[in-house]
Amino acid sequence: MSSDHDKAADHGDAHGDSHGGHDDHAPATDVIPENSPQDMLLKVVTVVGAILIIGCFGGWWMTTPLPEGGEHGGHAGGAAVETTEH
Amino acid sequence: MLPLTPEQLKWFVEYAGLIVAAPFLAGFLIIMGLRASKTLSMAVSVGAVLYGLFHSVAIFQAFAAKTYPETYFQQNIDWFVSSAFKLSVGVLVDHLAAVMLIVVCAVSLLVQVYTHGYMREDAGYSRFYAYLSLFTGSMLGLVVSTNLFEMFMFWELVGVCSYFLIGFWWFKESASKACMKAFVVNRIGDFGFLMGILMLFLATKDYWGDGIVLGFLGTNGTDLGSVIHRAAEGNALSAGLLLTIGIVMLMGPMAKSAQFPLHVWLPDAMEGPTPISALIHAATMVAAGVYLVARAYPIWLNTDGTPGAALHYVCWVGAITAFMAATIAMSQYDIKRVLAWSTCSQLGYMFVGLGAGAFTGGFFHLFNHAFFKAMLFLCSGAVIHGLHGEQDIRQMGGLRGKMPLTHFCFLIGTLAISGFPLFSGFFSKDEIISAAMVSDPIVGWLMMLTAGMTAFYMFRLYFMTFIGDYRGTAHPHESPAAMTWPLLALSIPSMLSGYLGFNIGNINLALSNGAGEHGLPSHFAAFIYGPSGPHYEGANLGMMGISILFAVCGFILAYLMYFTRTVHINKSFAEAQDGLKAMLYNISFNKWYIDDIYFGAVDRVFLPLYKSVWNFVDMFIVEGVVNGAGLVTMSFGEVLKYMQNGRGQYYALVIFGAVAGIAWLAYFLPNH
Repeated sequence: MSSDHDKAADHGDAHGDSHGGHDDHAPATDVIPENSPQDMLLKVVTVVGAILIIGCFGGWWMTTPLPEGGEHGGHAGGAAVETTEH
Repeated sequence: MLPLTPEQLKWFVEYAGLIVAAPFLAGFLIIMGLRASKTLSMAVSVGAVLYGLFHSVAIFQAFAAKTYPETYFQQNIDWFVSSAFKLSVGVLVDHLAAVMLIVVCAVSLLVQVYTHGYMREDAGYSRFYAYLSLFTGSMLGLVVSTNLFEMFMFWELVGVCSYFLIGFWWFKESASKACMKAFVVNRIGDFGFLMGILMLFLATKDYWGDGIVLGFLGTNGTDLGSVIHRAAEGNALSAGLLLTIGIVMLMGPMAKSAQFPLHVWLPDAMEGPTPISALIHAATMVAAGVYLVARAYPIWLNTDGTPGAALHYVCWVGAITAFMAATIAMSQYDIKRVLAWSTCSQLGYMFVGLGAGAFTGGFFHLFNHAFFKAMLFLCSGAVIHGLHGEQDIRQMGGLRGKMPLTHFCFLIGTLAISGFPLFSGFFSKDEIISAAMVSDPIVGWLMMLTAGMTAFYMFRLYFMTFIGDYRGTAHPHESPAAMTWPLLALSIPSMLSGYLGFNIGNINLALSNGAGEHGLPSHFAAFIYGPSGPHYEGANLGMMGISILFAVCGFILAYLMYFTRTVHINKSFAEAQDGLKAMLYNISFNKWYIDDIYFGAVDRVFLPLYKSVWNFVDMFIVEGVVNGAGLVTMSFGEVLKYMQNGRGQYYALVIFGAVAGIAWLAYFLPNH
């Protein structure tokens, strides 16, 4: 229910938050460049993370047969291991 | 699947506490000295959460492949011991926690990678990583908490971390106000949460036996549901009291998950850096309320374990929030605030799912939403970064060609959140709407309408940002790889995660008119609570069709208004000066005036009332005590000053009188 319309300005809802908003703070002196080894390492981390997520759920989905229903895989009352150190 | 032996998987399950410890350790190391090096700060923080993700996946695998023979593992140590009771802290991992651990670690990892690109030039780069690590540790601690007291402790810790992160750019007045607002509103909710915990504790304290007090799970009937049932049978917990506890305790989840009327802090929290919006205010912390209800659901059931008034209350809170937030999102212009209101709305869907008895549906929506909403927020950050700080969508447009990767991911997220068929949001939203229709048709239709509005405001946002001509003055550019790669990684679960909650058998059942309230469980439902657990899986093809129809209508309306610009309903609403259209537009644009109502109430009711009470206390009690003390001192002084006459004989007489008096007392008082 809106358009490129300047009614918003009348409501005074404009707020100046922005990524550049922190520019008035002291700028960093040692900026890590975009082609640094750190960036390369983070690309590898991203790929590893994606593989873990996809491998985990994808592998489970493909290897586990669809449940039939009626099986009692109890939650609260099911068998469990408890260790309590007092 | 990880190539690990059953013994190794068992080790991972039994040492789940390391997942919590690693980010805490990283956070403390950064604060204690590593912050001097940006690279070390980033590496330690990212390394800790990467380890957490690996460990979480191993735990999930142990449960999913049933190589770990039990349904859960918990280990506790004494925290507070008295003669009347003892409190414990520990680690609980079960199927629900295993999924949540992966969600938190996965989103946190990708957000931390993205942070490197987004905060690269910020002087607070290392401090930001320290806060991120501390927040991740707190959130993971909340997930593996064994009892309500421990959960409350971590609940407060995530609140504090959220406060620090919203106010990260503290030198901006808007950010400092926003973090204070979030803190105050969440304290109101937390007060209710704590009251609920204490009321439940007082009512059930004699029924925990050797189990963990207020523990979620336990053996020999010491889990939350069994204890509530036994306390009710022993007349220690009436149905009315349990309902009261449920309503009071829900204040905590309502504040944390931004539910009406405690939602007002979330849109303002967008003052924080965008990675925080993605991690805390979209994917993880705001989901804590939903997680609590899913974890401790017997509190919101009747004493006999059947759905009742408390669950209906949860359902309506969610329905009102979902509808209200969707109406507000339709008229906002700030890219992050539109997404914030959509988060509010989607959290409302989750509450409706839980309230309608579709516990797995509600939690499944949390699971799907975490991925696509984190991605949408990170996309918005990439847009803001590419436009050098611009957040107003009226100054955007035509970014499809200039930011192709961001555009692709944003489109995936838009389709997923709008509930378009075959995207993740479709599967969970459909389950929630179907359950709501059975539970309360009014809520069901409200959710259906909200689904249409969701498609409308999300495609409005998409068209105004990425389609048409560029309307701004900056020079848009695609973000660096450190920011785009996490988007691509998140786009995969955003597309595919929905299939974990889909069982094709239910479609066959529905086609043969055999689908009932409890159809065949999906992978997800069967895993979370077990096939016999609280789940709703009935595939209702009619509801599914209507839901798609509403979403398509929302899309078409947005397409005609913001793509082809052949329909101008939006302008007629925005330009209306009076009448129904102007009223509706103003209500939407001014966020239902709820902030104004709160500020008005504080300024005109609470502060004057407080001043009146304070004036009374000050005038009649404080001043009375002070003046009285002065008067007494003055009176004594008037009397005693005549004794200070400087004559030695007089002082000797006084001493003599005192000694004689004491001797007289000693003589006459009875001896014992």
